[in-house]
Order: sequence, then C-alpha cells, then structure tokens
Amino acid sequence: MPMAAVDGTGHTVRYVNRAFCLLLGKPEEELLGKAFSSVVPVGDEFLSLLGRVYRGEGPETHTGPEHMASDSFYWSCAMWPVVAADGRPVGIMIQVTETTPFHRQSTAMNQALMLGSVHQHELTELSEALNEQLQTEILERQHAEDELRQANDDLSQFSYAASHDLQEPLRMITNYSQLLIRGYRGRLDDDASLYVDFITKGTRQMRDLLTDLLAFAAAGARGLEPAERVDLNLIVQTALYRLTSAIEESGATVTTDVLPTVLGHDTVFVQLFQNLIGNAIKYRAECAPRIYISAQKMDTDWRFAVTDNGIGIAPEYHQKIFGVFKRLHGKSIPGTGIGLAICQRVVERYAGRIWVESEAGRGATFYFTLPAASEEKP
Amino acid sequence: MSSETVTQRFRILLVEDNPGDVYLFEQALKSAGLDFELTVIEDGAEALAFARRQGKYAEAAVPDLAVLDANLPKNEGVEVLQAIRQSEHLSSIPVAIMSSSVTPSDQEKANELRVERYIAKPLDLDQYLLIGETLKQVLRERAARQ
Repeated sequence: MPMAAVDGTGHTVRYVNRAFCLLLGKPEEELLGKAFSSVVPVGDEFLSLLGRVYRGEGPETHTGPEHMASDSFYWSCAMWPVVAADGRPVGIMIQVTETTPFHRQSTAMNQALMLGSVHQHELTELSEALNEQLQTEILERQHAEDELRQANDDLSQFSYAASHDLQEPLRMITNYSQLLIRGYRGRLDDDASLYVDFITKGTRQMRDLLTDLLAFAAAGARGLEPAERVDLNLIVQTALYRLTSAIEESGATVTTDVLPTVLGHDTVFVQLFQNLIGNAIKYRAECAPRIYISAQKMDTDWRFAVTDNGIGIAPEYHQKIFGVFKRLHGKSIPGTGIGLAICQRVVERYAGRIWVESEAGRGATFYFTLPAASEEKP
Repeated sequence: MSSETVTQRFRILLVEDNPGDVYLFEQALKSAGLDFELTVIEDGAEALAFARRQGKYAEAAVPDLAVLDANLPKNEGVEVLQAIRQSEHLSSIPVAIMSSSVTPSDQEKANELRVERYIAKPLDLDQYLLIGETLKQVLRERAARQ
C-alpha cells in the first residue's frame, strides 16, 4: 500500500515507501526532499485538503481518478496529521489505496446493471408495441365484424322493404290483368289473350321472387329472440309436410338418420331443409328421387348431408349456385334462384358452412354444419 | 234490430289511399251480394278527423263496419284504429284491417286493438273477391249480437 509522509507547509516529501515509488514510477531519490505537489500531479483540491490536515483540522480522504498515471487508475487517498509530542502537527501521512479493481468491478456491475435495464426497457417497449398492435388488430376486427353485422342487417332490411313495397304494385298488375280477362271474355282476340297470359305468368314469377326474397331477408335477420334448442327431426317432418304434393308427384322417397338437437330457430331451419329437399326433388333424373338425410358429429358442430340421385351439378358451378338469383336451368325447371342463397344465409347465421359435392349426372350431396346444443338437457 | 241481414243496406267506411284497391274492394262487396253504402276516405288525417267527429264529420253517420288499410303512409292505419277505439261513437263498431302482408307481430298488435279480421291483400283476384264473403260474415255476426 503506497504511503508517503510530508512535513512543513510546503508538504515536503520526507518518506516514501516502495509501493509509493512503484505507484509513481519514480525512484526514492527523485521524490525525497521535493514538494509533494511537484512530484505528484495533484490538483488544488488535494493541496487544500493537505493544508487542512496540516492545520489540524482533522484527517481527510480524497478520491479521484485524475491525478495518477493513467485515467483507468482509481485511487482513494487518506491523509492524517503527524503530530509532535506537544500536539503540533509536523507533517502528514498520506496513504493511497487503489480502488481500480473495485472501480472496475463497480463499473462492470454498473454497466451490467445498465445493460440489464436497457434490455428490460427494450423488452418492455417491444411488448408494449406488440400489445398496441394486438389492440389495434382486435379493434379493427371488431370494427369489421360490426360492419359485417350492419351490412347483413341492412341487406335484410332492404330485402324486406323492397319485397314488401313491391307487392302492392304487383297486386295491381295481377288483379287488373285478371279483371281484364274476365271483363272482356270473348271480346279479346287471340293476340290480346296471349298478351294477358304473359302478363299473368310474369306476375306469378314476380310473386315467387318476392316471396323468396322475403324469406332471404328473414333468413339472415338477426332477430331479437335468442337461439333455442331445436329438434331437427321435427323440423324435417314439417319440411316434408310442406313438400307433400311435390313428393307425391315425383314418387320421391326420403329417408333420414335420427337427427340431433341443435341451437337455432325453427322457422329458418324448416326453410333450410325444405329448400334442400325440394331441390333434390326438383332436379331429379329420369328415375324417382331417392333422398337421404344424415348427420355426423364433428367436435362442437354437427355436419349434415342431404344426398340425392338427381341430375347432379358440374364442379364449375359449385360456387355459383349459392348466389342470389343464380340458376343453371331455364324455364324447364321452375325456381327463383334464391333457394340455395337462403340456405347459405341460414347456415352462416349460425357460423356454419354449406357446400356441395357433385358431378353432372351423378346426383348431389349438400353438406352443411350447425352448432350442437350442449349436452345437458334443460 | 232485425236479424235479417241479407237485404239490409250496410254503411261501410273504407280508409284506403290506393284507388286500385278501392275499386277491387267494391267489386269484392258486390260479388258477395251485399247491399252497401261505401264511404271512402283516402287520407289518414281525414280518417282521424272522422274518428274524432271533427269538422265536416261532426254529424257523420256511424258506419256498421270500418275497413282500414294498414299501409297508409306514416303508420296512420294504426292511429286511426286507436282513434276509433277511443271514440265514444265508434268504439264498438267492428274494424277489419287490410294489409299487403301479414306477420305474426302484426297479428298480435291487431289482437291487442280488438280487430275483427286481419286480412292480407291477396295477389289472386278470386282470393280478393272472397274478402266480400269474409266481411259479410263480420256484419252478420255484429247484427246477431245486437
């Protein structure tokens, strides 16, 4: 531990130990008898401290990096007075303690701590940025959902209003065409009769379209009634009842698995099954229609299939047929082209899917999914 | 009041803004063989005045039957119905509502307001003409109660 002793007001170096010489890199001879400040680069602060100690104002310590060999050298300096027997200070003992290793360590610790906190800060910033991004995405998605819901409601309302308001002028056309025919029976030539005939057919077609458009509106409408448990066996029975004459005329046989209970609303489910079974009958081949309804549990959904042996649908039309007013056939097979659009709307109202597997001339299977009701019976 | 209703001349009020429907209505009453005197009010505000016996309707004769179009602009059909039910003179007359379409909620509302019949205006002419029979039935029921 480097030590030196100085005396007098000039703080003349009277004693240095070997460590002190090594510290300064100077031999003993160069140091002894010289003023402390001339051999050791110390600043005014240091000197004033020395002065204080010499005057008996107590021991002092001084720390600093700037006085010694290189700026990576840190030291702490303790000074205390050497006094004579009578208490008069005669000199000062100076002991230098190198604190570089401690300083290095503490610097290293400090740096490590700083780095740690920087990393911490970076991680926090990163997770905050991610959070913000997630929040934005959630908001955007909610916004999109709201917009979709609104668009759906708007479409339902529009469909309803359009078909409702169109009914009145349609009635006028229909009824007065009929009045015309009756009122002028026998007085109308063949041409006039033909014209009225076409008018009447047009009005019937229009009525069917409006009816289906209303059903389409109702299918997607988010009613205020909550979804309830619906026994699909009863639903199919109702649909079949409504198709009685079509079934009889075509000689169709409909077989069905035992169907589950699902969550939804009975009116739109009847529409769904009625349209699918009705289509299977309508688009039949030469032979009597054979239709099979099945159900399979998948996870939280049920997957239903309505299979027929009819004329089938070529793959390139599998998407198109679900469009509103989209038909693949002309007048030969009646229909408004809205039936499957209604089915899709019903199914999608319950977050299900509907699709078809079919080839031309090989029958068709329409699949759709609906959410299962929970297992506990009320 | 005699229970012989077939030859009785009925006073019927029709509130309807579509002339096409007015003519059809008359044809329906005729085809049912009813002897009737038809008062037509085409305007909802006028119909309210009639129900409240205001202005020129202060001394108007009380009809045997009121038939209201549900599809008047501004929902006036329901207003007129309420005015009739609240009126001293008219509250007991039978009221039938004619509408372009009938939904279950419409039916419920009509039941609450004591409507005799809630009739959907049909697309088919023959169906429309049958309304005459329906209204003849309503008038008979009322006459029988008196």
